[in-house]
Amino acid sequence: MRWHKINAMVYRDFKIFTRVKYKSVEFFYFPTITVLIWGLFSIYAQQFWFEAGMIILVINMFWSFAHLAQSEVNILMMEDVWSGSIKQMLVSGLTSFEYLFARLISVGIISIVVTTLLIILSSFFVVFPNYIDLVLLVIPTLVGSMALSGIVGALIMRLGREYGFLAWTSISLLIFLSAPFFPLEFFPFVLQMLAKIMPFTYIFAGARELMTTGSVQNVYILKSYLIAFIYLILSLPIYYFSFEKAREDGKLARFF
Amino acid sequence: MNAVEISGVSKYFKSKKGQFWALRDVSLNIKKGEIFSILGPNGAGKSTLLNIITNTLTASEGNVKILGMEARNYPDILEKVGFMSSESNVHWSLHVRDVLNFYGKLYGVKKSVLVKRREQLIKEFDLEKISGKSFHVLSTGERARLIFAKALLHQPKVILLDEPTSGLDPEMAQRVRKMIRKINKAGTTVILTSHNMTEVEQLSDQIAFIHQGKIVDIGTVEKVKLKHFSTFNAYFKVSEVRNKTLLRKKGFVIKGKMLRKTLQVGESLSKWLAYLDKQKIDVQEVETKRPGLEDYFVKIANKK
Repeated sequence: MRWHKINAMVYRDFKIFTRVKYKSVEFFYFPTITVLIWGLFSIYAQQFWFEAGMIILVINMFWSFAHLAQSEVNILMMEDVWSGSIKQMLVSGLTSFEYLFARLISVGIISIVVTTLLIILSSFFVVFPNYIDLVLLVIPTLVGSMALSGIVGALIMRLGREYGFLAWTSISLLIFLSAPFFPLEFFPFVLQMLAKIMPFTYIFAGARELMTTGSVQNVYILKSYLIAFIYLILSLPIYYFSFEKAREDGKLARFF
Repeated sequence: MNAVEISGVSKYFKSKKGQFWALRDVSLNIKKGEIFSILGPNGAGKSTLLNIITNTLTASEGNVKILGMEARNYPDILEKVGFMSSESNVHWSLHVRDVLNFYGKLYGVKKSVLVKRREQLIKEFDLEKISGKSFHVLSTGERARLIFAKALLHQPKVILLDEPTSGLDPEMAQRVRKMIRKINKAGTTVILTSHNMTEVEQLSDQIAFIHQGKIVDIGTVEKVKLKHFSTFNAYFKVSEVRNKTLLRKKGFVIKGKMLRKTLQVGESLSKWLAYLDKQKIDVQEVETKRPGLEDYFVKIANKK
């Protein structure tokens, strides 16, 4: 890894974040509206089920965070495709990992800032019983989302730019399969098995438990870290080989 | 050590119809300090070759060395290479200064050098008035100036220019050609692709012609033209034509008061001027038309 190249890419990404108006909508507006809607619902829901609204609010907060951390990395890649600028960067000798790693840094910083703001905003509607456990769940969410961005990036490279929609749609399926608002036992058996290997299942389970009991079982924390890091380790060779295959097939030079 | 050594490079792509060979056994040595042009019809393999040189495309066979190193094993060597294409783009939202800062950092230019170099290029390429504007609002000429400036920011040893004057007005195209001569004079090896044959003839030390993925010719402009054109036409404008039968026997083609004679390359014009003088034919004007690079291009491109 050459840090001057990563530094350059991070510089560029932050210039894009400040120059492109809709980025502030993506980063702040949608997550904030989500927290406001479900925050107010959580106050209303206290009348009939005290924890219901709090669970929905916290899960939506994690959902927004995961979505931002994954989709923005891939959207930045797609913007390079649409603008035809990726080749200009690659001819400088920028490697596939430098290209991805810089994006993970840029988006990681933004995601953490946004999530911190969401936690502060959410605390106007709910009382978080335990901030330490909350932060412990934030980390595997970030790692899992970044791993997914590498896998989605690999898919787009292999399949072509027509599959760019995966950048902002793929995470919704994984979130659904991670049993966000209910225990995974509510799923049919096959989906239960699938849910056990999804990156966010134990994060959501931990978040629900945090809001109902005040703490998170160690097993949920351990499993969420384990699965997130397994996804991360698997995503790296998938991304690398897809990138090199795209270089071999001519997709990198012609379509990107 | 040559600036660029291309050894036995072949590239095929798999398609539904089977394998398509975009390049076959291409070998070239480009000397340091040369302006080397790669010509060929559309689809000949020029861009494929440039993409392999810049490592954005992997060769199926063979290797490419830039300043003695293979880019796929030593990507750092690409920091000594500049690239500019008529299709070059940057993110639409970036301002002119952002672009230069970014690429300066990307190519490892030290901060103190970058600031000085950036401002020098902004001035040299008339980018002062647009330095705060976004890329998407720039005109074609402004974009070309920015992309060229960006390609020179890190003072590359080798620069690849893929149709650099395509789409530019004549004034802008001339400025680009002047800049190419200037950077070459300063020691940068230039590899150029262009469909403008006048430009290639004016600039190139050597050319290579690619057709259907293979190198057909390589050498100086005059050498490759001579290989395919051994004759040229001389046109004599005369006041009056006499002895038409005799002139036709000597190989003159008569059209009104214009005589056309096909001569061998190296054959003396004065010999025929003396002959016409002997025939008491008054020659008012003489013009020679030697085959240009465009004639060569059309001849080779039409060969199967």
